[in-house]
Amino acid sequence: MKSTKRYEVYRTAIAIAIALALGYILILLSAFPKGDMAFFDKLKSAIKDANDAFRTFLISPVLKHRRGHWVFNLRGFIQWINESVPIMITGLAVSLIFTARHFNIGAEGQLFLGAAIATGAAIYFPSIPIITPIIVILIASMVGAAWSAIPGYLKSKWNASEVVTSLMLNYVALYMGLFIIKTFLRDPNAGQLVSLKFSDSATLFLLNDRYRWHSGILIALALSFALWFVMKKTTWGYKVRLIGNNKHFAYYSGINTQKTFFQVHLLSGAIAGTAGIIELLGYYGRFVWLYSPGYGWDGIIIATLARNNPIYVPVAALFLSYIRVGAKTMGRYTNIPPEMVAILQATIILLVTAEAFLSQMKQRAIEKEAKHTEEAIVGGETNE
Amino acid sequence: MSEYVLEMRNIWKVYPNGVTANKGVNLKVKKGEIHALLGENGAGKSTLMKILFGFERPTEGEIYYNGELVNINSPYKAIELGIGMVHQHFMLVPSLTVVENVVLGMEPRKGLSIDLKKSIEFVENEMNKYGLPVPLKEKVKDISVGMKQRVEIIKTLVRGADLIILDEPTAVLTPQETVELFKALKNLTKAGKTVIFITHKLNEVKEIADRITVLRRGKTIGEAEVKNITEKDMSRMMVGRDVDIEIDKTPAKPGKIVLEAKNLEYTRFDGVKMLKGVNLKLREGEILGIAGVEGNGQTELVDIITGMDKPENGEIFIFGKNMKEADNPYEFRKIGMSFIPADRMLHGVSKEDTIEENLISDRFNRAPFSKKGVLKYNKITEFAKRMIKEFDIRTDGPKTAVKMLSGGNIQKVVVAREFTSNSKIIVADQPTRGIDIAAADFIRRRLVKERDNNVAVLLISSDLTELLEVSDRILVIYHGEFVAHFENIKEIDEQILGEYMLGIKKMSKEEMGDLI
Amino acid sequence: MNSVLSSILSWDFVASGIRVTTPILLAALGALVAELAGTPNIALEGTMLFSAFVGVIISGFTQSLWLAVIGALLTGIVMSSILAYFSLKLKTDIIMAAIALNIFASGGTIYALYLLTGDKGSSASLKSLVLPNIDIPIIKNIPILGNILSGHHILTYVAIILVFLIQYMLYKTPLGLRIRSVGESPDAARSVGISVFKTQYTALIISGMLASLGGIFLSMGYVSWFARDMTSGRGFIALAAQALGGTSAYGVALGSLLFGFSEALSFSLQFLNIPYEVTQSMPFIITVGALAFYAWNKSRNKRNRDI
Repeated sequence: MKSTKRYEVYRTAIAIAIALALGYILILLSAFPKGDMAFFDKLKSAIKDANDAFRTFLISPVLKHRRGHWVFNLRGFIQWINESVPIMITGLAVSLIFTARHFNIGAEGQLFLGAAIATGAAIYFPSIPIITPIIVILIASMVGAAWSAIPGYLKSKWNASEVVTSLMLNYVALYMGLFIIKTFLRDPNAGQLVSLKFSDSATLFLLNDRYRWHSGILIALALSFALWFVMKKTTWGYKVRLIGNNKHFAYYSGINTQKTFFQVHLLSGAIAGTAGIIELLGYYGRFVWLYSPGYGWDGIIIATLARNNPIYVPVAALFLSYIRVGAKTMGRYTNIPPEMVAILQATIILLVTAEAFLSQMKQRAIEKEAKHTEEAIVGGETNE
Repeated sequence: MSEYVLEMRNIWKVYPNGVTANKGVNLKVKKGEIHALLGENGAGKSTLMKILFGFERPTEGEIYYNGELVNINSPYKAIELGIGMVHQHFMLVPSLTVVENVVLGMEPRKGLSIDLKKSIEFVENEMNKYGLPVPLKEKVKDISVGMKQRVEIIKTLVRGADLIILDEPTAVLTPQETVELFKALKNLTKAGKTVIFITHKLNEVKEIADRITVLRRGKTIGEAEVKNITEKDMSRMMVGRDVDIEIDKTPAKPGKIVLEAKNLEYTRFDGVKMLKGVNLKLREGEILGIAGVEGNGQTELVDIITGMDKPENGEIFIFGKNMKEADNPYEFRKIGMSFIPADRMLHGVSKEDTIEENLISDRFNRAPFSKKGVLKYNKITEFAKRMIKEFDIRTDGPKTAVKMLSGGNIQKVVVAREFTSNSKIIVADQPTRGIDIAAADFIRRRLVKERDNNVAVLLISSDLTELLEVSDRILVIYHGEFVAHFENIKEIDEQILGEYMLGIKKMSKEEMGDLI
Repeated sequence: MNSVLSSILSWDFVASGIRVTTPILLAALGALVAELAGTPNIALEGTMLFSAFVGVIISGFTQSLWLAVIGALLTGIVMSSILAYFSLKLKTDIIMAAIALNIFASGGTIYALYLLTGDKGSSASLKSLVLPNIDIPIIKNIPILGNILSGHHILTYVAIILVFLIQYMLYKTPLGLRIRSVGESPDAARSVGISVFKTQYTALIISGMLASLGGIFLSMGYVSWFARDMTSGRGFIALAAQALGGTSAYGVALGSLLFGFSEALSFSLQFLNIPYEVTQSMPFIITVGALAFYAWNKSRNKRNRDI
């Protein structure tokens, strides 16, 4: 068992290393200068630019260059932490649903619609410090749960593919959310489609005013711990693990599988529903999205990296937002589209979930161990 | 050229979960013989044959076929060499017809299409040649188990197999069907084919095999001419000691009826009527055995009795309570029923989870295993350690994943859970299938012990010897109906059961008595 | 209201329904082949997107329609090969691998677009070609019939032909028999020497190529540019169409028509001052509704223990 875990760590590390190497190559390719130059000179110039860009990509969230010295980059750091918040939360939602081996990939729609509807509350709800943000977040959470309940119900009751229905509903949520903002909550004085500003006491407590470091990270970390406790220590978590690993066995054992599956969809939706509004309350102070922010998809990557274990989710989310922020900063200096990171993400998912990747190495170790113990037993038998 | 058509030398196989199934096995088979590969469940017979057929790759070792070193890396290669295999679990596509299954992979063509007419002619020709008639145009899911086996044999023959491996072919057959099969196998050897026959039934070896090789715990124990060896010697080689499989059993003292099924009907998803008004009464303190060829409604009956499924018509009473409203096994467990399922990997355990987690799956919600929704892992571990000791589960400890255990030990996990839930009714569906003799013996004795504690036991088994040995009464099911009821087990034998299982004979309602 | 009715009952409506159906149908046929082989292809969305991109880029740089189509088909093959390699060889869960490919396609097209054209949003600066509509001689002059049968896009005709070809392939040829047996019972297929890997790989390649055709219809069918995420869920709708249509290509075609025409309807309804967002989400709502109904209907005669 221990060796199995060790290979999981190796596999993750190697996947990340390969993805980063690929990132370097992509940066190098886009750094090739245009115009009349010998290929070798172009290459030399590209390598030089790529090295600079890659360095920015790798360290800008924590360090910056100032008068010849590397100094702590508070702004980058705060951006890094802030950006990890929504994807940490979707990562938790997805890890829960994946533990039950259901592929409800509707976190994207849940968070979008949750944020859009809760925006109404954040604007119009009477201002009561502390209470208002809690209520706003709870509303978003309930919307997320309700939205997730649709594919959840269709799957657990009638076995309709939750993959397809949740994907369809993501689009419906996007259009419905935009409709709500546009029709009821739009700020007529703003140049583009954004909502009215939230009431003052609706916003989250700030840890740093200048760069708007908001307390969402505390909520996300608390959620991670809470979900970890639920999954590993409670009877409900046990049921979820069981229905995920073998639902037939769970049913046979007397667990109400339909009900448990449905509850998982509800809770996952309730978590995902808060991901959007927490960022809006903490950072933007109003609804600002014109299209889906993609956090639901990020949640899938994070859950995969974290092996669906809530306690590893913050680490995975911090990793992803780190390279995300690095890519954005790099994009500002070099024009390389930050969407490049999507390619790295895809690579990481593919390799981390590849059961057989490096399995030969693992298998050889198991064979060696097995033959070794076998010989020991043979020795024992002659003594009989 | 040597006299052996096949030699397997020093074969090792380590599975990805670390289980070592073959530990330097040697096997030599002569041309034209029926060679029995003998060994307990879990001795490594199936693995060895899967290696020979290219389904598994050996970790180490060499295979010589017709004197040449061969590298069998896929079934395709095995077929090319003239090796065919009839698997224990039939390798047929249920929704395709018999013809389609047989020609799959070697389809006669007309232009781009499959030439169906030619396919039928071709298969008809082959089946007549070997005297193995099969219903060509029926879908495989609609034909009987014995027929499916024939289709499998024809599949190997049309591919030109000279060496045919049969993995426990009689496990699913009635005595009468077994006779037919043996006739067919003898015909094959007359036609110059070689047969490897995997079994753990000694009487069959005596009846049909020329030579044997015995495996035990993944190693070759020895080989012999069948005529030079007694069943007792064979059994000692297989198990490693003298075995006494007789179970001391006092006559049953049945009490009141605890389980009653009335007029159960069930139609399968594809429209086949699996249960046609089945009645059944089970009393405390008795073991009621159910015999029947697989697929005659046993699965459906067990599912309904245990709450896994609901009948289309009819009712179940447990301790006099009508279970009509209960649509979940939970209700059945709560009222006092345990269930050892036939497919232990599908229903009996969750292989990714640990032994202790598997042991509490029906009781995690109660004290002392949890309190207010929070699991008490120290109590759980304590309980699991006790179970491991009491049921002799061979493992490193309660936190080991179930997938790391052998088949017999996995079944012990299932049994440990089901025997310790204080149930008054135990439904045991094929409780000893595919496990080693010691574990099987343990489970059978335990069933009898539970009976002596006044528990009601319903035993469904395709192992007729087991049924006759353990049961106090036996019902025979055929085409979704009970066709025989024996209250005096001493008066019957496997032949008699077989006649009813095949539908050759049928008792009248009066003959069966009022316990049904 | 009358204006809506008349717009629904017009030839334009039928034509627009057929136009919207075409890419969905092509991808849905791809979904069918993959599904029957036991390897559901959730990566159709990404495959369509990448093929749409490659088609435009090649036609823009070479001004050759043939090269563009070939390039797009090759893209489909490559995407499917990656999916096959990871899911079949490296044992990545096929849904996870497909999600990765979809993410890859979304980001990868934007990156590559920037690399090749310097733009990040769309390829408008690139002069790309458009695949033609086809008028069928003689028939086009017949009233009504001419309207129905003639003047559609070349890929629409290809899609219709492919419905019959795929049905024939799946149910009459050795390849189809093997695909179905591998999907239903891989061990049975293996036991007669069929390579499960090769068969599933072949099915995925076919699936990918069909999705590619759907993809270039989007970027080269009526428009001549590529825009980021321009497939906007059509690959997923194709999966839904297949789920509804079942195991026959004809059923899948009907499923695709349902979505095509519900989307065409949503265009028509915009005249009625129904907000854009509402009409846009209609095809998706209809899809979910249809899937729910289908699943409900199917679950009625299902055994409990299958859960």
